[in-house]
Amino acid sequence: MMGNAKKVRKIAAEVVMVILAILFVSPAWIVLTNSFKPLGEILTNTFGMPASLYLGNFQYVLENMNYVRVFFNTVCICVFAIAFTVILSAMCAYRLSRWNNKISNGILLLLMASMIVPFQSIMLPFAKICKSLHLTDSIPGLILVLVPLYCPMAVFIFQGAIKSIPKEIEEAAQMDGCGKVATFFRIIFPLLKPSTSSIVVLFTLQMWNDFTLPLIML
Amino acid sequence: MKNKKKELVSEVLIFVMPLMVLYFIFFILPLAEGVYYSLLDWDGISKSRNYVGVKNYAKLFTDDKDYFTSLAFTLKYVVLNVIGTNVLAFLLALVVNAKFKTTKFLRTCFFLPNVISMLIVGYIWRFIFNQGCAALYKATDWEFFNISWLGGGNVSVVATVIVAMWQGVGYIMILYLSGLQMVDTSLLEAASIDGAGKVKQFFKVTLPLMVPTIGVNLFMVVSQSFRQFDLNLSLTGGGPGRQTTSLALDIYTEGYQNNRMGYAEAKAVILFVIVIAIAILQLRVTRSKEVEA
Repeated sequence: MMGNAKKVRKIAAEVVMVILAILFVSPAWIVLTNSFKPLGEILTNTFGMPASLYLGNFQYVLENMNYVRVFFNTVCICVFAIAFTVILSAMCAYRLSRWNNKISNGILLLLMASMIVPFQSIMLPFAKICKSLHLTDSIPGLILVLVPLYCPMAVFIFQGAIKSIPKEIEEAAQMDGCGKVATFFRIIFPLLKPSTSSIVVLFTLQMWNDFTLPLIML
Repeated sequence: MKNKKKELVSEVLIFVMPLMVLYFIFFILPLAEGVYYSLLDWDGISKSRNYVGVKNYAKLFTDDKDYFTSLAFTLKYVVLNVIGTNVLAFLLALVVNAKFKTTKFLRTCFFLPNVISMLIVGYIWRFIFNQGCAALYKATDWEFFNISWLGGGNVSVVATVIVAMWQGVGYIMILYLSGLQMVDTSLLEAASIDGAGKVKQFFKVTLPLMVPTIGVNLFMVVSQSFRQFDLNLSLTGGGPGRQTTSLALDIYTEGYQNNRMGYAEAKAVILFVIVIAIAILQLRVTRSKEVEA
C-alpha cells in the first residue's frame, strides 16, 4: 500500500524529471523559435518567443541553398544506399552463417572487427581509390561506397537473426522445388523483417546525418 | 558430384561475392594501402614517392608538438565523455524505467538530440555558448555565464564534452534501458524478501547483471569519441591555435590542408592501433567481470 508521503514523493520526482527533460530539449526549442526571428531580434531577444512569424530566414534558405534539390539528394542517397546494403548484407549473412566452416566464420569475424576501425584510419587512401575509380563528385558513386562502409553492422544484425531461423524451413522449400535464390527471397527475407526494420531506422539516422563521408566524396 | 561443386560455386558468386568484392575494395584495400603510405614521404598529388621507412613515425614522436596537444585534448575528451555519458545515460535509463506517467514523453525528450546531426549540434551550441551565454549574463549577472567557454584551455574540453554528451546520451540511454529491462524482476523480489533495501538491490543484483551492457556501451562511447570530427570542426574549428583539435580532425587537416599524406597516414595508423588496444583491453576487463544470472 503506498502511503500518502510516498505518493507525494513520487509525484514530486516526476515533476522534477519533466522539468529537467524540458531543459534538456531547450536548445532545440531555441533553434526553432529563433528561426522565426530576423537577425537583430535574435541578438536582442535570444530566449523569448518571436515577436512575429518572420519567414525571411526560411525564404533565404530555400532560395540560396537550393534546399529542395539538396533535400532530394539526401533522400535519394539514403533510400538507395540502405536498400542495397540491406539486400547485399542479408544475402551475405545468410550464406556465411549457414556454412559453418572456418572460412565463413573467419569472414564474419573480420566483418565484426571492422566495426571498430575508425573511419579516419582508412579515409585518405579510401579517397584516393575513389578518385582513381572516378567515383567522386557523383551521387551513384557515394551510394556504391556507402554499402561496404555500413555493411558490417548489417551483417552482424542479420547473422544473429538468421541463426534463429530453423533449417527445416529451407529444406522444405527445396523439396518443393525452390532454387537457392528463390528460397532466400521468398522465405528467409520476409522472416527477417524485424531486423530489417531496425537496420533501416538505424542506418537512415546515421546516413542522413553523416558529414565526413560526403565531405570527401562530393 | 561435379554438379554439386558447380552449384556451390554459383551460390558463392551470387550471394557472397557482391558484398565481399565491395568490402575488399573499399575497406581492406584502403587499410593496407594506408599502412603502405605511412611509410612514404608523399604529398598526395605529385608523382614522386620516396620510401622513408619509419621516419614519419619518428617525426611524430619527436618533432610534432601540435600532435601531442591534439593527443592530450583527445584523451581528456575521451575520458570525460565516456564517464559522463555512461553515468548520465544510466541514471536517465533508471528514471525512464521507473513507472512514471510521463515515461514516453521523457524518453522522447532525452532521445531527441540524438537525431540531430553532430555537425548541426555543434553549430547550435556554438551559438548558445557565444550569444546565448552573453544574453543570459546580461539578464542575470551570474559569473557562470561570463566564462569564455570556447576560448581554449580545459574549459573548452568541458564545453566540447557537454555538447557531445547532450547529443550522445539519448542513444546510450536506450541501450541501457533495454539492458535494465532484461533484468529479471523475480531476482529483485527475492532480494527484497531477503531483506535488501532498494539501494542494496541495485548495487548487488542489478549492477552485476548489467555488466555486459555496460561493457558494450563503454566500448561504443570510446570508439565514438575517438572518431569525433564533426563536433570539433563546427564547435570550435580546432580551437584557438590547435587546442581543441581531436586526433581525427588532425588527420584530416594533415592530409587535406597540409598535404602531407604520408605523415597523415602514420597518424591514422596510430589512431587505429590505439582504438584496437583499448577495445581489446576493455573486452578482457568486462569478460572477467561478467556474472552468470
